[in-house]
Amino acid sequence: MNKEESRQKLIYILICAWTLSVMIIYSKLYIIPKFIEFLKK
Amino acid sequence: MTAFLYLLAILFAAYGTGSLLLRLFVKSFNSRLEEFVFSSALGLGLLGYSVYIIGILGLLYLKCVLVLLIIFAFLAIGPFIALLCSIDLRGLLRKVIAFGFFEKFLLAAFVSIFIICIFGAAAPPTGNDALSYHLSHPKIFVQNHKIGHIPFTRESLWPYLTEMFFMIGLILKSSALAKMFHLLFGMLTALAIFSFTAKFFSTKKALLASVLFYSAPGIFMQSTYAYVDLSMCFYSFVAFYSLILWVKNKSLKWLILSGVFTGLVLSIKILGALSLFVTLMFICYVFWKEKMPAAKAASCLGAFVLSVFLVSCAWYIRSFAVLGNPVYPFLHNIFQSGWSTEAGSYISVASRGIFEFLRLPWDLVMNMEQFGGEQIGVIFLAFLPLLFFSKVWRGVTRYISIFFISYTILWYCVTPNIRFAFINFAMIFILISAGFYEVLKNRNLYILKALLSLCILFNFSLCFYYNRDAIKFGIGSMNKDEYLMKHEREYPMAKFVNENLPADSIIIMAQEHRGFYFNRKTIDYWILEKVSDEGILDYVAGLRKKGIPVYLLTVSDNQDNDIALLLKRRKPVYSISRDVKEGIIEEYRLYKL
Repeated sequence: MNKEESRQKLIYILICAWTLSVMIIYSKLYIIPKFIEFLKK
Repeated sequence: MTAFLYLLAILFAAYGTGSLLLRLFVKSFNSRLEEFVFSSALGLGLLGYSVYIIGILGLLYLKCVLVLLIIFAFLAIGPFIALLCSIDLRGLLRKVIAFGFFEKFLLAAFVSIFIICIFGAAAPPTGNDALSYHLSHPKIFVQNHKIGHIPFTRESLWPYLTEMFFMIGLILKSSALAKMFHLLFGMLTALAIFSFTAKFFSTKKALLASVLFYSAPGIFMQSTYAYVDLSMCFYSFVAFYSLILWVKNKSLKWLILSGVFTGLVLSIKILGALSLFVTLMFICYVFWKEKMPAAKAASCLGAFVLSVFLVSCAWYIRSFAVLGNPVYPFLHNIFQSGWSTEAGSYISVASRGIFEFLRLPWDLVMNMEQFGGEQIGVIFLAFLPLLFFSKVWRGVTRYISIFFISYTILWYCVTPNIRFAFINFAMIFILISAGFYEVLKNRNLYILKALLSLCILFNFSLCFYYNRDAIKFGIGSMNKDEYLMKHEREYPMAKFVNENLPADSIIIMAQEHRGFYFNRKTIDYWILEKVSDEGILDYVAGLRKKGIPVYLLTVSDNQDNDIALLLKRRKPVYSISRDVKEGIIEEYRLYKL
């Protein structure tokens, strides 16, 4: 794997990590409470 | 669904007429879609203004509106047939089949969300601003057969271009049709984004950008309400689109067209001034970058400003003539007319500083309540890093970035409410889409596609969840009363008033602004308090002397002194309570004064 490929791979991993973290936090703050509220109804 | 068919008929009538007009100035377009977007924008603007003229002349009758629509339809026959003949359904289908799985998924998500939104728009009107003035003022105009100032209101002389369409719906006895006009503007914005992105980037990026825009919760939710933010977003976007075409073609026609569309933005909402300022800054930037001679730059700028003024002045001159202030009740200090403390109602609760500004992307998604409550959605934040791959400072992306940054700063300083920045949703999603396919370039990065699909699926579920009762209403398993009893807090009281109170009653509403469902004259207590010369007690006494039955509607306990005096030893003629949240009960009480 040359330098350019490994750089791209690193960027890709960073983007995925950021995306996943945001999705997890959003789920915890917003989706799960909404879902619980829905179930309670 | 009849309302949706009416909507399509009116759209095509407006498109055809707009197309005739547009072809006087612009002969060639990049695609049929581009021509459709610009023609519809122009035609709808013309239709809105025609209704406005009819209204000003006091001819707001069903027959007159029908004649107007027939004239539009007649003019539209030629362009409409030409449009039908030019649509290559087989070619379109072949293109769709040639799409990859991800793009097919995007298309399916887009169509599904739009179908759900049709149900949402077809449901009875709800929502604070819609029932306080976007629909309730047109209802009064239709009753009076005339557009004019409504006493004791703050908004009745505001620019009301979108409300002209709501009025078409109401005069045809269909509040669903009125709401669907807003849905239409949301859909037209998505089409405009597609056309723009396909022209300057690629079809795949165009599809992704329009799906990301339309699947943003703030957008699909607004589509189902009779608000005006999506029409403002649509005209702001087509104004920007024309501006970019001017930059590329150097044809003054496009700059004038951009001025016309910016004028239409100002005809929709006073806050359209944000778009105007950003566009002016943008034009000056282009002059500087192109090193345009001063004389040429001045003539271009003059043409733009003149077209903005000519298109939008009708609303502001009217307000100035009647109330002495073109932007009543704002800018009281300058015009000596209006309210000195009114601005408070417009400013969001978000505190504003440099640090807060830098934290904006995070707060817009995670703490949306600070910005009016509408949601931009998780995709914006989760895929924000892709911006850096969209070649932000090259070609058209540079112009999008400049517009986006300037608009964001101005919006943040003036009124950071998410729905006033829908135009920026369009800009940011175009950039994210461009970045997304740049990262994917020649590679199949399934994880990124899977994550994005998951977010879109979540937005789809949210759309379904929010519109579940509207769907029940649409398929007939819930009637209008049941729907409104569940979704409109004041509806039970309005029902009582309509069924029991004398027809000439006046209801003064304290802490409740939604008057649409009351078939009696309603007056907002807080506006009466501000604009009445004689004071509320004397005003009420005057009405009673004339033998007019006056009622006061209060919500829960009211500490206001005047209300306490008005209600001394009185018992409500009707009261009804409802659960707001767990443990909080709100009581609506109606008193005879």
